[in-house]
Amino acid sequence: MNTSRRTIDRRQLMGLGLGASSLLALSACSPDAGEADAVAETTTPRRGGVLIYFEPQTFTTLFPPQAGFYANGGIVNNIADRLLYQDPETLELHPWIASELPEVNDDATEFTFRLRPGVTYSDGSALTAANVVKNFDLYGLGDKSRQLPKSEQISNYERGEVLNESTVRFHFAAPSPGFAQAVSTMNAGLLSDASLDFDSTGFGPGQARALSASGPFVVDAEEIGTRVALRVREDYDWAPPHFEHQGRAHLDGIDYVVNSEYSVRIGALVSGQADGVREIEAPDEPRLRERGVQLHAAGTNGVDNGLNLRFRHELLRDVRVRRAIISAVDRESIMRKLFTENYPLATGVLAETAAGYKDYAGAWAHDPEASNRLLDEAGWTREGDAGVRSRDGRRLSLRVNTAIPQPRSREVMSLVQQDLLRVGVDLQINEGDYATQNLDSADLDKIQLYHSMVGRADYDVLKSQYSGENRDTLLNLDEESGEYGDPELEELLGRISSEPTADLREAASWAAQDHLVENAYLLPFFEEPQVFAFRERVRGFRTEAVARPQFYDTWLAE
Amino acid sequence: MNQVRLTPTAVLAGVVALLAVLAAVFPFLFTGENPTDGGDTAALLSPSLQHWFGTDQIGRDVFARVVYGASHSLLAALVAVGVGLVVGTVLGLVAGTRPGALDDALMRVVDVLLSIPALLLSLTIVILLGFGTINAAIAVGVTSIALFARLARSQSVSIGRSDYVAAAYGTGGTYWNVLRRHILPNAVSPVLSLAVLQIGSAILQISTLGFLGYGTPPPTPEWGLVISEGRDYVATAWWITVLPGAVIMAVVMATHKIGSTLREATA
Repeated sequence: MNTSRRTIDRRQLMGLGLGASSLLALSACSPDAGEADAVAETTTPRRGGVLIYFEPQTFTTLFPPQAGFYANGGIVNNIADRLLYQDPETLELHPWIASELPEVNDDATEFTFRLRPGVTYSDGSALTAANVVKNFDLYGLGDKSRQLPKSEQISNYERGEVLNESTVRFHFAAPSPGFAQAVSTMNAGLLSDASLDFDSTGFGPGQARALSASGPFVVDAEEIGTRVALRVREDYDWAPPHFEHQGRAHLDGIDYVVNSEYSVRIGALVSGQADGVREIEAPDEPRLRERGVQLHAAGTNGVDNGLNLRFRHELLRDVRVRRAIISAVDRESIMRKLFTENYPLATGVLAETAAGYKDYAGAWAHDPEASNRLLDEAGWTREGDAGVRSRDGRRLSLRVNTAIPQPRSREVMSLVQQDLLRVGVDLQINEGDYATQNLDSADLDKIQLYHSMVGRADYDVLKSQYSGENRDTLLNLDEESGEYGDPELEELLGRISSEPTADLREAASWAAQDHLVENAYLLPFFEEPQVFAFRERVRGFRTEAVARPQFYDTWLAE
Repeated sequence: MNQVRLTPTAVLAGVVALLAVLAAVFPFLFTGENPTDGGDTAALLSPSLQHWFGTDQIGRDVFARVVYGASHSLLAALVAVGVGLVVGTVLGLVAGTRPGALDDALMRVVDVLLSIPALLLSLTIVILLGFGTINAAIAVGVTSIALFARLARSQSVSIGRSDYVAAAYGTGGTYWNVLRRHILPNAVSPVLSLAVLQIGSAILQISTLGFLGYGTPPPTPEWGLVISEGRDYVATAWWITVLPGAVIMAVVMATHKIGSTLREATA
């Protein structure tokens, strides 16, 4: 998760006296399944109109490698094109700015792309071979002096090479089979030469209008922390060739309006002030559906939403304690209480639709008696059956972050807190806004249980989430000594991104998942979707492979 | 001192306040439900005979949370008023009986305190002190110091001009002696009735801090926190916010009524 430099949360809003909860009169009906197709399709799209889209968070940066944060990706995905297009359903790759799929050498250390002619950036400059190389030199290597991190999705990048005016080749120090998929994600959105010279401030809030990419929409206006307006590019003519729809987008534009108060966003949608809203909470789904609101649930195809047990912390070093924590939590009851069928119970480390999925159903069964036994064995005792366990005068007390971008993280953690206390483990829920949570989460002394997920439709997603080089959600890497708490895990993860063939990568991914599950490093809850809601007049809404909105095909009915 | 007038509203206020105090001390008399563990109860159940205030977003009984929350909210309110009362009264008495530079200096500090909005000041203090019930209470208490200081000063100024104080000095009384024996006892009753009035607004301010996430950490059922956790569900489950809100309102109004009744009696 990217670090946020500006977020407005409810505290600041309330401090300014701006918080308001609108009381809505909504009524109920029973939910039904199969929502991915719920956004209706009719025959002739109508051109024109601006779609008003309410976002819970303001974007923090538009630098594509940091577009993973939902609010960033929602914008970047619509303004920047990629070399390849990944079908969100089949996860297959299709040509886009590259005119055909890349040629890859046998050990996946060289990728050759042929570029489509005639593509221009919104500042008028042409998308050339040299420009594409410049893009990936920055994304593959990062630039510390400008505080621009390298993309977590590109491994072993060495250099790019211009073969001729329409052909580029990328060289890798070691096999990098995930690269073809990596160029299809919004984290590899192509930018003009001028934009690539920005530093991290240049990609930040306040500077969005200066950014120039080749996508169907262009940033036209920005009010920091409040609103970003995208407008259509009339001369856009380079959609992925297999799309039926070519040429300019149907919409005249999209207004992203930021409002951190959930009830206000829902109210705006129901009253017709907003056309679309991201992040609908499960209890509201049936009521919205009855009001004729279309719901669109899209899977994020990556590591499931779950709890990471940071085993380097001294309280969690003992595998029995970790197992006890896992079997104390009643996942099914949590899912039943808090979510709808749009949120499938996790059956593995990864979502069923993700690349490399392996079934571990049964690995996280609810068994509080086993938890009590394991904790007793590990020497954590308490008087009677209530209270918090302790050992040598130290209480078994852990702290978990609140994953603000994740659905109902606070409620999920409140139920986990309740389940853990029953077996004598104290869980504290970390307070604070998005920036505080990010900062605290990087500190093992502050956060020992880390609630998170990550979406990416490639085998590399496991490495993105757990490797010390990337997100390191388990804090396996000790920053001070530079050593790994579990070097074997790091080695297994490295193999996923360096085996040259899909079969070998799948095997490597399974080995890493086995290791994560056997060592009780994690407790997955559900396959995280993004649930969007749209007014009845919105048609043709789609998401890309990890559920970020894609408004190219969207149009507004009369 | 006049007689306390027992109007029906004053009696009702007394009953509400008594119930709140009972709930704070003996919560188990009011409910058998667990305030922090909902067990297998479904989430977001509407109010019923079994769950008077319904259940919250994770299936806990809202009535139990309000009842068990009383001790946190009331204790915090008492601490807050205590801080304001003690510090404010001492400052006010000293300022009122030491005219000149000390009085001017103290009263300018109080003016500065008064000029800062109470919520902003308490937020600043709680961020400096760290989150938690007692810290939030202290922060709220600091914001009321100026009020108590103002009142205590005006009382001590008028008492300081009275003949018996002059007589006390004349018969050889030291400054601290006169302050303790003559000025403080006579200045204190209006200050105490202000303290009762302040309890209501302290409960409100502490709930505000709890609502904003600066107070008691979850799952402790502090009133403001209960409302804050339910506010995303106003559309689907109004009872999580509205019913605890009504309880806070009733208690605040009751203490306010008691405070003003007492003030009339002492005036």
